[in-house]
Order: sequence, then C-alpha cells, then structure tokens
Amino acid sequence: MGVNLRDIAEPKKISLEDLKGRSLAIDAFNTLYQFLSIIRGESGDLLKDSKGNVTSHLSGLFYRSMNLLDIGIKLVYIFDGEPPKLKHAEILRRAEIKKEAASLYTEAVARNDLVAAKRYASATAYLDKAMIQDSKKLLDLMGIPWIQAPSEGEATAAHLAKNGMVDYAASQDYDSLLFGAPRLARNVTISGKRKLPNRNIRVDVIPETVVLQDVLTENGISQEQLIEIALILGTDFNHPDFKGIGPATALKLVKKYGKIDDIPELKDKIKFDPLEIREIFLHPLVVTPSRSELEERPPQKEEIFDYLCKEHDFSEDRIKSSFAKLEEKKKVESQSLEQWFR
Amino acid sequence: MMPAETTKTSAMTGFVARTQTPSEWRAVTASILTLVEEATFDVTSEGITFRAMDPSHVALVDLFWPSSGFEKFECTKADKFTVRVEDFTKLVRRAESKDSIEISRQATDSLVMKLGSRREFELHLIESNQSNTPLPKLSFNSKFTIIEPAFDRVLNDISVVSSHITIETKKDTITFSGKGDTGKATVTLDRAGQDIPELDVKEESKATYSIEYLLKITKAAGSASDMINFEYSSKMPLRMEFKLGEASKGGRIHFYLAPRVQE
Repeated sequence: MGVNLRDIAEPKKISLEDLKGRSLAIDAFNTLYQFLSIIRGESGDLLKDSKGNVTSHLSGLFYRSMNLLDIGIKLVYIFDGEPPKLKHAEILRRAEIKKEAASLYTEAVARNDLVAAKRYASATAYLDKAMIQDSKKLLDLMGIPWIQAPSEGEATAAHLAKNGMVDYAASQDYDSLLFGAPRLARNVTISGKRKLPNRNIRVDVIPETVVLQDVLTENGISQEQLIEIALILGTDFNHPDFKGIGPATALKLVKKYGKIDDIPELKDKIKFDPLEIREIFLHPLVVTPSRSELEERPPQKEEIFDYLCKEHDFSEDRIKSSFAKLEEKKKVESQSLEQWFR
Repeated sequence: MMPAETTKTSAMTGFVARTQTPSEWRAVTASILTLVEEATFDVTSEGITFRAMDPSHVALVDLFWPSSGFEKFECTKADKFTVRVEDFTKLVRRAESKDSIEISRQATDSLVMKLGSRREFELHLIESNQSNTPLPKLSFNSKFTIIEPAFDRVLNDISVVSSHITIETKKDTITFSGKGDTGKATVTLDRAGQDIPELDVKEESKATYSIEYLLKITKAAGSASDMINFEYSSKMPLRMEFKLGEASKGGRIHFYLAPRVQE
C-alpha cells in the first residue's frame, strides 16, 4: 500500500535497459505480493504444483530475476522483519480486505463468473511463512543476495541506496522516498503487458524512476516536509482521512505552516502521534550489510532443476533455456576493467 | 566583527576557470554523461581533473585539464565539486559557439557559470559519494592515430552486422571487423592512407570491444578534436585519447574500455 505521492513526485518513464549496470535493492515482500496477485490462471487461481503447493511466487521470482540479470542489472532482495507497532492497524485492515475478497471470490466461482472471480482473487493474495522460506531458498540457489531487514524492508533498501551500496531502491510504494531513498525504481519486476485490476483492458506497465532530490526541488520542500505531506495523506502507519485534502492541498498547507500539528484546519483532528511516525521515517531500524553479503554468486543449476522442476513441476526446458540465454549474454559481454587495477 | 572576518577569509578560497569557447566543456560533459549521472571534479592550482567508471566498470573516463588550457585560471585552495551531470550539461548547452564559459565557486554550495559576459547561472552542487577510481595498469603494444570522421565511419560500418568490433594491427595495416547473424564487415586502413597519420606496432595485436561504448564516446569527445590517439594490446583494454583545445597546452580526455570476454 503506502502513501500515494504520484501527484507531487512524478516518475520518469524508462526502459529496463536504462538500468543496465545498475544495482537495485528490491523490496521483497512488496514484489512477492505483486507476483501472488498477478501470476494467476484464467479464473484467478494461483499457479500450483501437482501436490497443491502454490508456486506463483517462485515463478515470478525466478523468471523476473532472470530477466533483470539478463539485462545486466544487479539485484539484492530485502525481506521485511518485524513491522513497527504502528503498522498493526494497517495489517489488520489489509487482512479484513482479504477476508472479504476471499468470500466474494468463493461466491463468484460458485456462480461461475470468471471475470469477477479473477478480480477478487488478486485481492486475496496472501504471503505466508512457507512462501517466504521458499523464496529465500530459491534466491540462495540462484546466487542472488538477499538481506533480512530488522523491520521495514523498504527502510533498509532506502538505507542501502542512501549509502551508495546500491543505485536504486525498487518498490511499488513511494514510502521509499519517505525513508530517504535518493532514487526509487518502480515497475521493474512487473513490467510488460498487464491486465488492469477490475477492468478488462490490457495496459503496458512501464518501468519508471523517481529522483528524491528532484521531488524536493520541484516542490520547494525539504525531506521533513515531504514526510509531513505523507502524514496528511496517510501512510502505512496512520489513516487520517482528512476529507477533501489531496496531495496538492497537503503540499500547500505544509509549505505554509510546516508541521501537521501547526496546520490550523488539521491540528485538532489528528488522531495519531505524528512524532512517532516521523521517527519511523527519519530514523528507521535498518541493517548495514557487508559488501560481500551483497555480492552475486554463481547459480547452482542442478539444485535449481531439482527444486523447481522435480519438486514443483516447473518445465525443465524453460528453465534450461533461460539459463542458456543468460550464459550466451555473459559470453559477449565486456569484461570489467577491475582485473587490470591490481 | 568575527563573522565579517570569517566571510572575508572564506571568500578567498575557491576558483575561477574560463575557456574562450564552449567546445571543451561540451566534449567533457558529453563524455562524462556517457558514463555516470553524478560527477565530482577536482580543482587544484594545476587545473581540473575528473575520473570515474561507468556502473558496470567496463569503461573509464580520465580527464586531465591543466591550468594552461584555460584562458583564465585561478585557484587559491584545492577544491572539489559534485554536480548532476545532466544539469551541468544543460547549462553548457546554453552557451553559443562564440561564448566564453567561466565557472567559479566562492565557498558556497553552488557553482556559478557565466556564459559570455552577461549571462550567469547558479547550479546547486550535490553531495559527493564518489570513491577513488584507480587507473588500469597497462602496457600498449599497438598505437595509432586515426582521424575522427574515419573512426566514426568504421564504427558505423561494423555496427551494421555486429555489436562488437575486432581491431587487428599488423606492421602496416589496421583491420576492423565484425560478424553477426546477418553477415560480416571488414574495413582495412593502411599506413599510407590519410585516415591513419600514425601507426606504431611493437607487437601485432588483436582485441574485440563493444561498439556501443565506442560510438558514444567518439560522438561525445570527438566533437573537440579531429584526431584520436588509440592504444591497445591483444585481449587487453584500449585507451583512446581526445585532445581538448590546443595540442601543446590544452587538456585531454582518456577513455579506457575493457575488451569483450570471448574472442
């Protein structure tokens, strides 16, 4: 979910090739949820192996990561840890939405309404512990680094980008900007033709980037003020529901008054502790991995065949051909100058 | 009293560097733009230097621009400044071909750029997160000088069939070639021709490089110089040299490129 800052933080459309040679810290939960809601069959059912295990997340993780590696993009996935206490309300709210969607889905399937079924199904996406373990195991086999964040994954991703350990924080959410990520990449793991939820049309999902400094300069605000705007609009940690205040008005108010508690028309209606939320964004709980933890390792191909093909019924030919493609690409690539530095 | 004193001292630190025309800065900014988004320049009383690699560490640009290459150059204390290359390039592009470009910094977090005598811009500097880039240790067995339009033509010829170019030097000839799914392309230039004013082969050499990188840098840096000095050895990185301004006292851009993995 996260705050919607699109109106004041306009992303720049790019092509994935523009990210060649760059490194991304990918918000793993955010991405796995995307896979679970998008990678589904005609009636909205998840991909499953012959034993009934869900494999949508593994399919997305494997093919999408291979696609990015193919282009020459470096990856590190960041997994969420313990969510901040303030997020519990949001988590309950999401669970509620899922429960409702699940029962609507069952009804739709019962009356054989596939369009509706698919629509509700994608809203039921639920990431369980086993799926998280599966995903970490697959990344290990693929040699792609992943980091366990102590709290919000986005916060650690932003922290890596801020310290020059990666070039971009990659997430669908704008919260990365609130956590101070200098560059945000969106739609990198889901680019391509996608059906819009709730509508029966296909659109191109195009990767895009947002540069934090540009957002601040163009709007004439500071990082702190950006967070105040988010507090007014609502974040994962508060749902203020100020009637009729969109991004443009929030921007105006913050520029005029500064902090949310100084805005005359809002200050008496605040039902949350702004201090606590500011603290989450300004001083989040993060981890600083060592350089070696961020290094790519060679993939263990045999183990990947065993895991994906034997255990989870993936097509061996398809997996083989995606490795062949990557290796072909590596062959014609230029070497790194680094070996001549020694 | 104290604050005034401080202001006065700090106003003395900084630098001023002026070129007569925008051509050098155009080549410098365009070259850097092919590699990185942010650039940190070092300024000392000796001149201006810059060095960085592209994110995949395949290419490196090393700029050496001595004070003698400027119409006016003053630097009281060594300084560094970091810019977003795109923004800096935009300013440089605003200069008309007869405009002088003067950049200066007076102990603020902005860079002042004057185009001609009447137009002045202030560019906010950004924080540097640059790390020190070493130079590759290389010895070169083959050297040649090629005129810029000839090299541009060679690259475009070979790129019809391939994304890579193989360069092979023999005593009196240089052969550029490439092959791909659609066929092969070969361009042979020899010592006697006008395209190659100089060819010096200590040892016959052959190596393959990405055309994309070569096209980009030739277009960017080639705008300032008619000649490109080219040095390489078999299966080793190449170095291209583009002169900035007058050969004797002007600066130069060195461009290093790693070879392709497979021959």
